[in-house]
Amino acid sequence: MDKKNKKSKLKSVLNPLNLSGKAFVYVYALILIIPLTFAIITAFKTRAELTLNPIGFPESFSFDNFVTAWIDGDLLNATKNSVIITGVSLLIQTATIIFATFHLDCIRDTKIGTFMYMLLISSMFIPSVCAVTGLALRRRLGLYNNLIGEIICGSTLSAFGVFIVSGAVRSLPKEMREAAQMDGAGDFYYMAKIMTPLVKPAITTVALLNFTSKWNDSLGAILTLRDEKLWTIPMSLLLNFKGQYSVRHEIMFAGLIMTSIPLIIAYCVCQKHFVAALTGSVKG
Amino acid sequence: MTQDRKVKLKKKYNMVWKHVIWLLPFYGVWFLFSVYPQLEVFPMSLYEWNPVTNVKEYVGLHYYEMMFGLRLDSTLQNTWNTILYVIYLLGIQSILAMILTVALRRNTRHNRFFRAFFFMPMVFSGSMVCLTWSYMYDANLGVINNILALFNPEKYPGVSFFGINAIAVLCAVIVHIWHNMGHPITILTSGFNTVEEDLAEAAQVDGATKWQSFWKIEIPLMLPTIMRMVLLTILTGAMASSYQVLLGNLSAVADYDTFGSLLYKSILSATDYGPVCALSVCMFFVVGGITLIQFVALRKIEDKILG
Repeated sequence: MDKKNKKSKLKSVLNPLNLSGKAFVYVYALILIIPLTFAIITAFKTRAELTLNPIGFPESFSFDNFVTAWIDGDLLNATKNSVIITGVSLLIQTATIIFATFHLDCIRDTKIGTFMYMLLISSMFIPSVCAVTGLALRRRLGLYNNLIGEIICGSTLSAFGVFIVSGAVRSLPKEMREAAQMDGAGDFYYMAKIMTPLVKPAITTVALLNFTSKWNDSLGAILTLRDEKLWTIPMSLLLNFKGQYSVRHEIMFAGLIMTSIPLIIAYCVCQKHFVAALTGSVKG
Repeated sequence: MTQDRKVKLKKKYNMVWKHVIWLLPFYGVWFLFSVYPQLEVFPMSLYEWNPVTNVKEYVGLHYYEMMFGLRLDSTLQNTWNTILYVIYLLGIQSILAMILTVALRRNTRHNRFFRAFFFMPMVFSGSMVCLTWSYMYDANLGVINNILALFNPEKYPGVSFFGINAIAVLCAVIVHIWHNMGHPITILTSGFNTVEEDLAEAAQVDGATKWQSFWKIEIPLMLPTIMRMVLLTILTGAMASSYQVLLGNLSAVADYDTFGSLLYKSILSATDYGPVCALSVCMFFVVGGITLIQFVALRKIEDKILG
């Protein structure tokens, strides 16, 4: 039996289809790596080397570009803004999602509960074209060109988040809620101490997705944060290093690499959650 | 007994309202920032609207007449670019994702690593990805041009990839795919995992070849997942704006804006929000139309195949 298995395994490995599949995977991996490699190489080049020798290796590795990028791009200030905006709005939004999901779940058997849930969910399938009116609204409300506005608008209820978390909450047995109530647990206690830990994977998933989208948002922030002091990391990379007439590639890439390192570390640490995040969106 | 029941019902009734009242503030904020602006787009497309002073003046269908009169050519070009973007994205990304998923479907260590690796670009910001790729595409310093120059120094470097709009759109789509490949792969992998391997094995025992069992058993079973991926791809393609906006540079000669990127650029430079609202309304119907058509079409295909 074992021998047979081994034989069929060998056969399947040597199958031309499998081999071409493997080749395909490696070629695609190469396509992924090439731009990143060139970005890293370029970050170590001087301006002269870049023009003379665009695709070769630099002669010496110096970190001058990184220092220039950090100072010229005002990346310290940008990091501060990014951390404030992303951190606060992520915390508030996640709490909002948990809270709303809990209350929606409590009334999910009633007509009004179903209606409210469907109202929120159906908004996911309607193409959103509200950027311009949303911007005008924020101007009117004084939420334009300041960090508070960015935080408030980033903390609103997210239909996608509620969708994923309520999928997990629905799978919890109803008896648990009743038992908790019997033992005298109030709504808030049940939500915070019993429900939340049980649906932690779903919440982590949603929080991670929201984190990357907030942290990486550049186009939305460019519309609302006009003041240079308020720029976030992706914005300052884009607006400082990609001038209208000249692009200083070597400094730009130094900045890009520096600011991407935290993300790469975050990805390596919770890579499983990142991937589960997207799978969750299907299962939910 | 009935008294008891009534009290119980009333209590339940009160409980429901308590939850609804708790929910109201959240729904209020959500409505204010997500729903109200979406509704406001439609009436405001009929006004001349200064964003700074907030003065509105009724102009009727003037902006629509402009869009389908004087500027008809560029409107058609944008519509065509949007369709092209969706077609490219759907064609290239779905096929690539399908091949990669099938190649990586066995849950070995090697395959898990590559699946996670293909996912990695998604954690980078759009601006980082686009800056990297605009360097790759750059006419003079760009990597692609310089590598081509090794083979044909007379023609390269100096070729702009953004000269012809069909190619420029393709360039944007390539970046889009490079950035987001992890998504369809993850969706398809989770779909393949739900298909029971026993079925395919049973078919093979009954004499079906691997190829047959793949096309006749696994693909039909996977169909709902594939449909979901297609739906998602089309929607993101039709709404996409960031790659066209961020890749744009001086060497961009061709008009390769899709509706999404055109909308964004016009918001950025607008002194009158009226025409932008009209464009938003237009985009709403184009994207809504695309979504609706493919939704109906996919339903029909699904019904036909699944019988």
